[in-house]
Amino acid sequence: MRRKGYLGEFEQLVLLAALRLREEASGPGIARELEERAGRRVSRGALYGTLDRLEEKGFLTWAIEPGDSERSGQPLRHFQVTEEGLVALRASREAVRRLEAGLEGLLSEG
Amino acid sequence: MNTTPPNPPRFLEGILRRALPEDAVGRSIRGDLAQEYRWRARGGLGAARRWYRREVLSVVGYAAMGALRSKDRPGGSRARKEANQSIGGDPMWQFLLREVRLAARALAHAPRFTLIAALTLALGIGATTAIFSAVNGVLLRSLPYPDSDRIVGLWHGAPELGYDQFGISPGIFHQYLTENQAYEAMGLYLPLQRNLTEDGDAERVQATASTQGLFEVMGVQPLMGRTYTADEAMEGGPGVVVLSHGLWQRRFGGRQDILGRTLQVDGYANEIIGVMPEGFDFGGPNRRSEIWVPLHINLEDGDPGSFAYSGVARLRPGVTFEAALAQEEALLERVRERWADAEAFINFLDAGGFHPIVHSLKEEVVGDMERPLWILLGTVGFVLLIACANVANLFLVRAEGRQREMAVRAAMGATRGRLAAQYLFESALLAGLGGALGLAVAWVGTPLLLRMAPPELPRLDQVSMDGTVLGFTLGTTALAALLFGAAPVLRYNLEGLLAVLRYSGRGTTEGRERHHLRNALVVAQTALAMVLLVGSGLLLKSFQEIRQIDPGFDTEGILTFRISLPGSEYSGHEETAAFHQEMLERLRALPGVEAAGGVDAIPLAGRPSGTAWDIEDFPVGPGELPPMFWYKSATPGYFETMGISVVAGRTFEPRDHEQEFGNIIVTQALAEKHWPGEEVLGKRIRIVGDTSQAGWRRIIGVVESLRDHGLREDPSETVYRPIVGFLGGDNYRSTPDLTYAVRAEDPSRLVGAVRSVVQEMNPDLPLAGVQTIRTVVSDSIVRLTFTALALGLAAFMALILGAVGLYGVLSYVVSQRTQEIGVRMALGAQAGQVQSLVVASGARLALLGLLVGVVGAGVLTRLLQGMLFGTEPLDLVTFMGMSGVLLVVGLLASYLPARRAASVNPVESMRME
Repeated sequence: MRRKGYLGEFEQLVLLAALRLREEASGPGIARELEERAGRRVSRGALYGTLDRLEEKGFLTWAIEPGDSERSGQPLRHFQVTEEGLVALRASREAVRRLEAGLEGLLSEG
Repeated sequence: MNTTPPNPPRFLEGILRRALPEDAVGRSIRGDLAQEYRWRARGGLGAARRWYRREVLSVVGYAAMGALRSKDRPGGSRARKEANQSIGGDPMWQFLLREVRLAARALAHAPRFTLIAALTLALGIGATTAIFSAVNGVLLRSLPYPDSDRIVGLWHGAPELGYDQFGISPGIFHQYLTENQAYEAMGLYLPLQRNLTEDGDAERVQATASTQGLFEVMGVQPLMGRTYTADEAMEGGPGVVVLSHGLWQRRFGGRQDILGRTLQVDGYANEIIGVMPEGFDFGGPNRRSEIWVPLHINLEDGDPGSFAYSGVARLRPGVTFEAALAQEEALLERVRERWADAEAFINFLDAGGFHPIVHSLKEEVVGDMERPLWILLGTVGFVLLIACANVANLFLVRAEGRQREMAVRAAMGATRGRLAAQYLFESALLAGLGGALGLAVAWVGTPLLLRMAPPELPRLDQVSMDGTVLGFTLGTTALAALLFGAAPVLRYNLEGLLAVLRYSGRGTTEGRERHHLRNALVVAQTALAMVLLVGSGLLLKSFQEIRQIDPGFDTEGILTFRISLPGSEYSGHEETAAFHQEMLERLRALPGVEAAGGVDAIPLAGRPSGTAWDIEDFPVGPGELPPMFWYKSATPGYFETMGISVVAGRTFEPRDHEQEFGNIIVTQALAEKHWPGEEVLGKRIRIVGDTSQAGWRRIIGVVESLRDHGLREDPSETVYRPIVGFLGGDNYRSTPDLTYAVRAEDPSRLVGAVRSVVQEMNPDLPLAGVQTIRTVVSDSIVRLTFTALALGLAAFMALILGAVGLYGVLSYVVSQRTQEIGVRMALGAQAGQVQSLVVASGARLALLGLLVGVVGAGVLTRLLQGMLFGTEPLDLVTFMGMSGVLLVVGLLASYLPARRAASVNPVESMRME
């Protein structure tokens, strides 16, 4: 089935966004962070699917809070990156760093 | 701001609510989207709505995937379980998925049924889709120009003289151009062929000479460079040329520095000033052009009576066709005033009932392919209906076998709606399967269909399986599902089912049950098949009748090809004649060649000129119009090569184009019409208005009647003249464009040798139109051939499907009444008697279908009127012949079940429960 330890590119971005946002890491919050900082148009379907996957892998948890009238009374999910998630992120970064070694000149554009 | 934030659109929100699960996660997602909607609404409702719609669709997709996946992990994640507060009620997905799974399982348990049904449907849907993609590409799609329905053609008609529709003259065009209010752009153009020579590669291309307005009308900007200006298009303007994208790629490799280069057009140097974008090749309706050159005439001095030209215009916004037409009619009055002195012209206008015609370019492009295509679509629709009837019958059979199962469900509380839903899901799934297979059939079949299609079928390149076609397939599939899914629903009701349980037994349909619905379906199938059979029979007969016609020339054993001598190299009549002479000698010297000759317009495919002639013996009185004859130029040996017999006098000899010039040959039809019963040789005629000393030509030969304008047309009245004519003083007329005909036993083998001969004589001369006379003849009736083939194919499919349907019904009846048959046989009935019983019931059904079909055919074959030849729509022989075919097939289909009935073992049958 799923290879537990690996992070896809989008999954990485979502985890990073969740880390940045800390208390405000909700669905809309993460989406907005990705759209503004990564400049990517995020389809909500893809986002929720990724959030589900990250949760299944154990990299993310969420907790329910009651919602206000702006949310039509619907509950709110707060996401939090787990310890395992952090480990996986670090591993990904390390892998990238090792492959990038020596290519700094090529990769840093003027 | 005191405004309360708006609510998301209710309809979309409802979809979201039904798609997502009712647990906390699902509700939080709904809340997320609602929250974001309100944020975005601050920046504008419209954008927020669009965003919401987009994201609702995306989340629905996510929910569907989730519903599918949740089967594998029934529990869900730990976090999900903890926070889950399920509120009950089945999410829509679970319901749909369950029903689909049940239906799939039911179908999988009856593989033979599913396979037959799916294949039958695939055939029907596939054929319908293939034809529809042709109809869509040719008739429904708009032309590839911006706002193309605003583009009109400028036509005229002179019905009193027998001219339905022809083009426009420069003089009249000029009048419209300067004074009309209806058009925002107008263009005049002339179709031509030109030789391109460049570094040794000679090529003959379709060209168009036009005013600068042509490009404005079509609304397409050049890809590179520019098109010519109004000044450049006037007389004396420079030699410039605009290339098509295809030519630029093919001949110049798409080189970027193409502008400014020279192209030799008919030996004259032209500067390339522009390249049109890909897909633009307008050279007239249904005509592709590879280059465009300026017309080089002064419109103000334009000849009002020369109608070889064509015109297009773009309507101003808001102007209707009728308004434009009215404008033109008014302007024609001015034309009359302006050229009041040109007697022949005014005469023509008056006597001909001259009037303008305005209709959209698209109508012109589609031409008369519209009716055949719709007929074809209707035909294939019939086949689809027949296929659905078959599948419906299959469903009914199956339903009968499942009565017990349905009865149990009913007893356990299922409503009629639920039972009906089960059938509908199965039929939908089956239809989906059939539809998918049908798409595959269409995918393969459409290119095959196009290959068979008439080459002049307009807009062939527009035929593809695009969104519209796929939508159509979806629609037919859904319709099919409804049609045959409804059959068992109609047939069975709850009470009947419960009765099944009460009386243990096989079901409600026993013994004398008449199977009304099933029989009705078979009758309907047979009727439809009959209509198709009669239609294709009539077309086949027409096809045969046409092939029987003797057109006056030989239709086998001749090879033709065209050569165009460029004026820059062959400037005098002597040079031109010498070239043709030598060419013919070389051709005659080739091994296998029996004869060779040339003409400027070959029968059927050529376009001869026509004009009015004065007959010396019968001068035209005041107010009368002189007769119109076609005229062609021919070399010595032409008539012999084409197998055209001489009825009187002689054919052309070298002296006719070297010394004498004034001798002509006419067709028998012309001779008999104007000098009935008289000797024609020696009579003289001349072209109206030709007052030169050489005007009067002498008839020195008469050839047999020729149907060279079309096999269905009456024999033509044509005048043949030698390839060189004397115009007076130092002026001669020559024939630079000639089609050569070469007679040999196997003409297609000569192509290589012929090319070498031309190459030797002048390597810069391209050959065009290389084809055998057989191809020319079959191309002229290709529309009839194509329709006959397609209809025949459909009729064949219908016959097969109908036979299968009849076989199915009879088989079933036999299996249901096995006990009864056993009893009969035990009581002394012979095998033969039992057989006849079954065959008789089959024959009854077939006969009833036949009668209905005959009536239907009687009404519908009227639609084929335009295509029939030598046969009436209600041709008795065809009707009777096809009735025979149908009955024979029906009897054959009844044969197997009859055999089975006769082989019933009475003892065994009575043991069956």
